[in-house]
Amino acid sequence: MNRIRLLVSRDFRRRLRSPAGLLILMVIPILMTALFGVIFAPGDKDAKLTIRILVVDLDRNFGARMLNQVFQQERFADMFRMESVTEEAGRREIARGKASALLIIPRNFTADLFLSRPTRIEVIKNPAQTFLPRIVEEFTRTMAVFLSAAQAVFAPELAALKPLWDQSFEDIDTAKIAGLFDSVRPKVNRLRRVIDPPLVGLAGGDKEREADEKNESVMNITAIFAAILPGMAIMFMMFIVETFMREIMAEKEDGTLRRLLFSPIPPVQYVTAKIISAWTMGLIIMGLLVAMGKLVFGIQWGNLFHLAVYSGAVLATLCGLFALLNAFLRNRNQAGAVAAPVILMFSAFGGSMIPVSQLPGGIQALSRFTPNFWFIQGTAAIRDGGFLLTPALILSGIGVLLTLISLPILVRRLSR
Amino acid sequence: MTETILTINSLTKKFGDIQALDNLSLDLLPGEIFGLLGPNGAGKTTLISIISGTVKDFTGSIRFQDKNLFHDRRLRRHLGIVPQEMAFYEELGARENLLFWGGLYGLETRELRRRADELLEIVELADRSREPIKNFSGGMKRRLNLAIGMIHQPLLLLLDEPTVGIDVQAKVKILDIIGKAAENGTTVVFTTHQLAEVEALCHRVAIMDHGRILAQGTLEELVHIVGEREVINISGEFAAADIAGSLKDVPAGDILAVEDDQLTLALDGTSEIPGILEALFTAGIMVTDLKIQSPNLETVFLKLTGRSLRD
Repeated sequence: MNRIRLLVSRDFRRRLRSPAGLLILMVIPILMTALFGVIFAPGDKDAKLTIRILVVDLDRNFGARMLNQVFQQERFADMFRMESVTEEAGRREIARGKASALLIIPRNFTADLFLSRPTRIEVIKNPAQTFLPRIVEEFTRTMAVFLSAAQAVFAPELAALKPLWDQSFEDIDTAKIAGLFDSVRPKVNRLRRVIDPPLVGLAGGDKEREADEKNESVMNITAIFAAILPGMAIMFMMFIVETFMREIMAEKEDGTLRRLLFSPIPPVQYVTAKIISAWTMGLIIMGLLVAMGKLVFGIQWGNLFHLAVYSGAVLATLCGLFALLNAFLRNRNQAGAVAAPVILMFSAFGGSMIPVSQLPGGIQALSRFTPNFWFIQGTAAIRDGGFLLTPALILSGIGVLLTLISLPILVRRLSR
Repeated sequence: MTETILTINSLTKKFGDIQALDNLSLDLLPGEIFGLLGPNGAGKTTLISIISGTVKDFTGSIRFQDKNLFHDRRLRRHLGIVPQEMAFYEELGARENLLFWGGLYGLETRELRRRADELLEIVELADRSREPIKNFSGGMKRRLNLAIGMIHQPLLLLLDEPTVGIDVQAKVKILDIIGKAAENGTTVVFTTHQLAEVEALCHRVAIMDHGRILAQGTLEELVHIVGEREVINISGEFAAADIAGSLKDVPAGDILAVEDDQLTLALDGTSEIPGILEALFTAGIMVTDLKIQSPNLETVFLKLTGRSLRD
């Protein structure tokens, strides 16, 4: 036991005397988390999304103006920029990709609306854009549904209004208008009971809403960091553990292993010490990453004891995995060349690079076989106040099993 | 009967088709410095590696103080090794390295520190004991490599070419340290292909080639193989194949070695030299240089192998 302690302390002292490699492996996950977090965080609240819509108004009447005004009412004015154009100019602009969509309001649109005749608004989308033309299309479709519903409810009144609309102001029969209002009012009152007050409302006033939005924004970005950092941390933990395990090959090539095995130390103690060094260093670095995650990104990790236990279980798997890998490789160059793709593959499939939910179905199924997946899931559960006991036990078991398999192979190889 | 510290009996080792050691037997006496002399590939390092336990799958036996060396790992406490490689941790200081390696042999902390400081003085690294080794010169590293092998005061110290790649001054220092270790009772096995080192240091020498010990004994005993004769080196412009024919009619002693442009002879006296030169001139061979020397390990090696140790 004393010799194992001596070997482990040697590993630690060597690392501390030449800490650049470890520091890099520790700082990179923080930097990458910051980078990805900034990229995927919600953008500047003041930065406005503006969709340029060209309108060809062939109707030139009340219905077309109403439609235009819906797009430009207060809530949507910042989002939509409406410009009236001729059809030819509109099509040309769309072809050049200068606007998101071209709306063509047909001739007699208003008349058709008043007389319950089918009519059609044409939406020509900019093929070079993906989302913005769809927003215009969906918005217009919603408007069409709304107008159709209104037309269905108020069809008699609209039909009665049509002749009035065609007359000059002096010729309008006010008594007739009053009669129309009498018939519209009960319909509006009945509708109000259905649509007002809305079943689902928004709480709070403007100030409260602003404060909520601000908090939500901070929480969103913290949540993004909290989602990214565990993935990055486990990926770089793999590199740290792999570096330690690769030292077995390095010591063999440098001649120190020959001298070590010449001493009274049995090879099994040497390999055990190396695994303990890798596991302990991994846990320490993980602790530092957790602390930095809290300080730099404000991540609430949840129960730190649970996190330490879970990290220990995952690190056990990593130690076993890389001990086994090194048991079959010839030298440090080969170990490095094989380990890097293995780590990157695990990281890509396990959700360290892209969230597992965004991966294709087949790869999602493979994710479950990576330590990255289980570490990300486990830390998320701990943040939510839970603990994945079964995965923790399985990961520890896998770690012990892989270590037990690799130990005799490594010992036999070192003894040769 | 003299008590031996290490007895090697019929040791044979093959690497594939290569016969690294061929039925090698050897006895080492307590406190002696035993030189293993031979060219590269002679099997010196393989022998050291087998004794140190890092090369397996051999036949034969090795007994340390009459116990099988490989049956009891505790016997390793009495063995020290100085490999050809700089086998230590460059990130750590000289003292840290000594404390680590000594710790592996189970030395008690106080004794370990005392011993580390003593060795640092001996190898003249005391003033730089805390400095990272990566800043050390080649000679300093070699001295530390030696000190690590001696930290636990082994009864048997195996040195595999301990002076490779260092300057003369550093070499002298290392040989001096090895000599003092032997004076203190440590048996030293010392592999080299440097004749001067063996002649200066070793009590007994084994000449190895192709995995076999060709001869072993004290320096005087080995030199007797050549006999009390003069060794003549003749340089010139000739083909090795022409020499035997040219000298067949004159008394030319023993031809120890002949190569293109180089001929080494062992003669009973210098009086034979004029006849030899005349025979060579008659055969049209141009002689450019002639040296007369006393028999030494080089000539013994030539006599035994037919080639120079430098080849």
